[in-house]
Amino acid sequence: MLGGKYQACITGVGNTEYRKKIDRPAEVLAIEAALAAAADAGIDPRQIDGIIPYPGHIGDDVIQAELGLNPRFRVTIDMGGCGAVSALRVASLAVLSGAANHVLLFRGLKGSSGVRKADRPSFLPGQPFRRHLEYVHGMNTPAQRYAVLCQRYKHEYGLDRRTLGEIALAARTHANLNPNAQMHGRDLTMEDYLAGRMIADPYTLFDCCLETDGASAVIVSARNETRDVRILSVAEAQGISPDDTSNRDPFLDIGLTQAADRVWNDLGMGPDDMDAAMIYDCFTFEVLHQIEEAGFARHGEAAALIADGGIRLGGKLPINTHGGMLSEAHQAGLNHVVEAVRQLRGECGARQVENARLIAVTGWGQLGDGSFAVLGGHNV
Amino acid sequence: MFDLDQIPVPDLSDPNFVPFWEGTREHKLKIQRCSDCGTYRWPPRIACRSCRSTNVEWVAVEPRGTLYTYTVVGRPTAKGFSSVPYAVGFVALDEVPHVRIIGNIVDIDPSAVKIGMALEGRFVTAGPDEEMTLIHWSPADNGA
Ligand SMILES: [Zn+2]
Repeated sequence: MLGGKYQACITGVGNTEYRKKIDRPAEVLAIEAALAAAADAGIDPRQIDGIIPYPGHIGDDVIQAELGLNPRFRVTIDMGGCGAVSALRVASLAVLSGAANHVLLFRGLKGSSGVRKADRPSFLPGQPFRRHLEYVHGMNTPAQRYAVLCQRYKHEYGLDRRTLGEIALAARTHANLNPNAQMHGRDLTMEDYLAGRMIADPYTLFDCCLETDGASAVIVSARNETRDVRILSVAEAQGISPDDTSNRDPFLDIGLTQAADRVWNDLGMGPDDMDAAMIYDCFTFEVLHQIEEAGFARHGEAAALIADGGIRLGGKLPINTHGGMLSEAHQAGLNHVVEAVRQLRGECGARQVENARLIAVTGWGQLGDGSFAVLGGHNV
Repeated sequence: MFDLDQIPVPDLSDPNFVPFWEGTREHKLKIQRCSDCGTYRWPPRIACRSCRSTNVEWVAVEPRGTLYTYTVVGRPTAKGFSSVPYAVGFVALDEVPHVRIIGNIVDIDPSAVKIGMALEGRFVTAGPDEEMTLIHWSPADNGA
């Protein structure tokens, strides 16, 4: 495990505006975010000597060429949305081993202007299973694949639509405190939520994450100065049979279950020690699911934490204070890392978690790959 | 309700799936069973997760089961499925309960679909040239 005296730090974060239909190409946005992160870290961009891109999107070669970099370390992490937090682990290994000094993680996405999700190439594992078992039965989107998880949970433990609604509303309330959020200034009421059109039962429009044009970047360094945010511990794991959910047993098993366990054991800390959590919120239920799998609530009991403002700013465990992918932006989880860093530095203004010292961040990708990190400021 | 002739046909010569598709053409549901330890497995795989053997046989099982989970798709996204809503779910087989088959639930209003309902498979030809046979799942007859 990484941790103890061996700590890498997040030294810089950056992002562009987040909205629909930005004219500039994704490459331009990615460069803008990368330069912002370098400036934030106080380094010359040429000091970036490691790159971890987002598979299927802008490659490390583009960033290398455009910024005139000469990286010593380049690796691709093929875990979809799980990759942002997994990349913190790989980048830590790189800077602690001396393979690189400053590793750049970035996303440059045109999620809102590009082709519809269902028409984009799939990077999921087990492609023959997708074609022989799913497409022939009209199952081809993340909303459909994850809806069946939610539906089973609902059968086993019970689940009120308003609990999912509160997850969407909490995200929107936070986004309304975040001027850069895509949904800033757009209120969402429970009535709006309940009237959302059906996407894949039980998921309606407001249960699903945004599609965003924008870019974000994070720099992990072999440096540990007062302003830097420490990667205290980070782990990743996959669900049983990572290429198939249909025959998984236990059905709701995901990689996060093991990953979080490893981090808690490594740190000798637990969920109650966290001041906030940034949870990969591709869909509302996946927030609830991950709350339980990471140990913030027992199986079947997350609804009690979510009720009465428990996951809002000022609640027991503020979740996704930036608005998450439901209301800030879809950056495949990298914006969750960016937000955790800004919270730990106390830079979040109206949405600042008071005296934030420790923040957990989750990653979720593919068919339930999971990653988990605990980040700490220098006030711990 | 489905545009059966527009459903994309997977590579029917994929060796891992040939016995399955040959089975459905004869109106049989065939799944894998390890020749060495007898463990049933699905979806089809090369090796047995229990004993690592790669010796495998394909056995026909009763196309009857219980709905384990499902979704009702409200927005069309897939080729061959332009008309919504429709239900798709995972069916736990009665004969081999830990094996679940993905399929459409038909002959019922999607809003009436429920986890735990008894289902039976029926075989439907699909694809531009009717080159594949799919298994759809209907509510089982009472007392059948
Ligand atoms: Zn075996």
